[in-house]
Amino acid sequence: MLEVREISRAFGRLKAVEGVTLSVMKNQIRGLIGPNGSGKSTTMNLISGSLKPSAGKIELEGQRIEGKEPHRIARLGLIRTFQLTRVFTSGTLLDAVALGVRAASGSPWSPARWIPAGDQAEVNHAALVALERMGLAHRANELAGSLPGGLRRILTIATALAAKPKIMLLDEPLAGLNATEKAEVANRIEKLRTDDVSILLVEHDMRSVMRLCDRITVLNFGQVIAEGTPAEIGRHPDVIKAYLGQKRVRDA
Amino acid sequence: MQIVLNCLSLTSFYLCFALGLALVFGVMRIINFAHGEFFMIGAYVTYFCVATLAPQIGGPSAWLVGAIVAAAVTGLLGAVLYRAVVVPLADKPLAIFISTLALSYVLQTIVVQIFGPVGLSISPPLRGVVSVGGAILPASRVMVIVAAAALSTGLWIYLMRTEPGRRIRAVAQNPRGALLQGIKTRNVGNLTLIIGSGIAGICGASMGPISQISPYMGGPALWKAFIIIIVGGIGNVWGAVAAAAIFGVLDTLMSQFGGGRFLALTSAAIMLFVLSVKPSGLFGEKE
Amino acid sequence: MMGALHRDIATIIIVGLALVVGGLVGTPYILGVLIIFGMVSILVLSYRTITTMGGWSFAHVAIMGIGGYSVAIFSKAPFEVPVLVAVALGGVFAALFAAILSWPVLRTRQYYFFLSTFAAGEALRQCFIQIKEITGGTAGIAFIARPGILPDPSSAFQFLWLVAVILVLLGLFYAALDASDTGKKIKAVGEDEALSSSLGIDAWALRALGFILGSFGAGIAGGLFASYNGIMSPSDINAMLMFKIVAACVIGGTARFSGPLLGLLFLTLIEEIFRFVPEFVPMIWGALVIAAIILSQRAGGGLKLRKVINA
Repeated sequence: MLEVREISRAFGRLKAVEGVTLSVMKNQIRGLIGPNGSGKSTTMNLISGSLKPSAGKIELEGQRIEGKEPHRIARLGLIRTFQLTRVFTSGTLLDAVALGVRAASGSPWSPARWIPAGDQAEVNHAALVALERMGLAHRANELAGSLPGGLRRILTIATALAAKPKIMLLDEPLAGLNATEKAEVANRIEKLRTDDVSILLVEHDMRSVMRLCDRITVLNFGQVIAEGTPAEIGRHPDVIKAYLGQKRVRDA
Repeated sequence: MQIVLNCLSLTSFYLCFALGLALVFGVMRIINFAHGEFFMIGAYVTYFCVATLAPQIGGPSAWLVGAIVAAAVTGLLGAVLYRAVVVPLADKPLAIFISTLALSYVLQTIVVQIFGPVGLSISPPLRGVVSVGGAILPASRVMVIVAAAALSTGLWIYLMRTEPGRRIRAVAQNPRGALLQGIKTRNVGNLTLIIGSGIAGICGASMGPISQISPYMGGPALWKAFIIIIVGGIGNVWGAVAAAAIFGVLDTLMSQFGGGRFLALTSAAIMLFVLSVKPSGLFGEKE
Repeated sequence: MMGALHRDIATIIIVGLALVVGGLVGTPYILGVLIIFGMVSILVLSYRTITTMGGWSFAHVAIMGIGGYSVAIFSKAPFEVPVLVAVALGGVFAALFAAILSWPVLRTRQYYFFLSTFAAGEALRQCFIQIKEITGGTAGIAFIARPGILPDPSSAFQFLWLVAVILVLLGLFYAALDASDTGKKIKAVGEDEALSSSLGIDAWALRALGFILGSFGAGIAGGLFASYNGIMSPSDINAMLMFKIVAACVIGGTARFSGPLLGLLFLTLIEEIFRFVPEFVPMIWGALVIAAIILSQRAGGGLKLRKVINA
């Protein structure tokens, strides 16, 4: 599905990501974890096209995508969400998700698309389906801006889902949610896999990562320090060391 | 030599004018459209002082008083602008922008009503010429160069060496961080706008005697300053210095060799070219 | 969303009708005011389309000038194109110019965008002044004809009719665009560019398109202005008009189609109320605009409606 091989990127002298290799198989949930500043976000940005890698290659279903513009990568079926909740707040939830449905359709230069087409019902239906899959269908007509933070985060996933991804990059989808919301969203993410969406998941909530992921890649200082099943990762000495360091920093 | 001095004099004017604008933007991310009118008012205040005081205390001292009063008046205008517009419209940069544009019309009208729409000239405080290395320069022009150099150096020392200056730099670099350090960003914003506006006033006082003054003199100067700070990188004081020098030299050479007609076009073309290649300006960092 | 479209269509038709009815009952002076109002309405509506993509351009009036000069040049010898065709050509040239300009200026956002479009607009005005051979320099081009399609080209009322019809047609176009697939994407890009492109929306193309289609309207308005005034000169491209357009959008808010029109109505009323002290109009105007901006922003109207809803 997604093959990332030896990608690197430096900011000035700081090597944010160095030779990172990882892959996501079809219908797999791949975890990408690591302490703060370990290069997870940079890796996400490199894959989704927000940043260009200085070396390495990225293949999506056999097609090279590294260095392509973000919207082209998205149109190939790789949709990302953002760590800082980003969601269209000017209309209702349905409007916001409908933009996800519309995103990849047609060329804006065609004058036929400058007048309202009769496809509103279909678009709304598709949007409603995406909302339903994330458990937000009953609030479809509320204003997206009035949604509480936790639900807004779920709305970002619903919007991404509406863009018909083959693979989703979820950047800390559980951050800032309370325990019940976390369990709820984790369940929904797990269900996505059975609906033919592969997932690359960056997440700090270890319990959810261990539960959801088939395989996990661990980054530290921009490099892969471990790769394996959740059980293997759980007892990997380097991972424990990296995270203990992090714990101490956090407690201080 | 003559050309070098002309370049220097134009550069110092550009720099003097753009500095205030760049400072205000760098710290508060606000573009003050009334900056040009502050400049114009500075010139008129100086005109008024020179016209009334020169017979009593002599040209140079009258000019000096004029420059000080000009700085005070425009600084006060800056403070009023801050209280009346910037504070109520915090975090709405476009609304502030339009309000300052509206303010510029208000100020223009007031000046037209008091002094009339026709251009005036300030009698030069210094007569005679200074000859430097064989080149001849009117003393007033030398004064502008000196004033601009003094102002820029003074600003630099203020920002680098004093406590309020340090606070201003801290806010410019990282407003939130500065807030966490206990710096009152509001006070710093107010201070910055006062300084930036005061600089515009002094700039008007220095430029007044060597060119005609008119209620509409702010516009073209502001346009040039926009181009300078875009090319230099918005909010980057060193970028403004470099861009002022580039345009100071270029414009002098162009007028010298008969290209004056295409001056504005060339400047705009350079700006658009810089934007195409490096949108954040020659010396700006990516936002 | 069809509700919003219907409301916008109703708005624009009512404005068009009001212009014609007002012209029918009003004095010649009012007729003149209405014609100007109609032409500036085209400017603010097209301007709003540009703002929906997230950028507040300051080149709109200069781009309008392209339309004005197109009519001035093409309606005369050796071209002698019918005036209305020249007006349409002006719209196309304005759009083409916007397309070229988008290459440098659309790289910039926010403040940079205000400033770079401001400087680009001024550069264009300088072109009009300096390329004397074509544009007539500061004096401009005089004796521009009114559209020959009108039964009596010298009748102001008939010209008002024409302005009203063009305003309604363009208004319908912009309203339709607003409700269309493309219009929704343009607004999405204006709201959050990174999010839009992450979903597969070609943000660059849509920003450029918003700029180009908005500039088309500016070109049309410019052509009408030139034909109405009978002269096109660089002084028609003034900062005051630009200010009027932006202020109308800030005061009325751009979230809705009718917002900028209401803002323009407000500004026009102020202008007319104080017309017996013309020398003070800029000052009163400026002061009231500042007050209106502060009040409308505090009330949550206008620009940051969205932010207020969020909070």
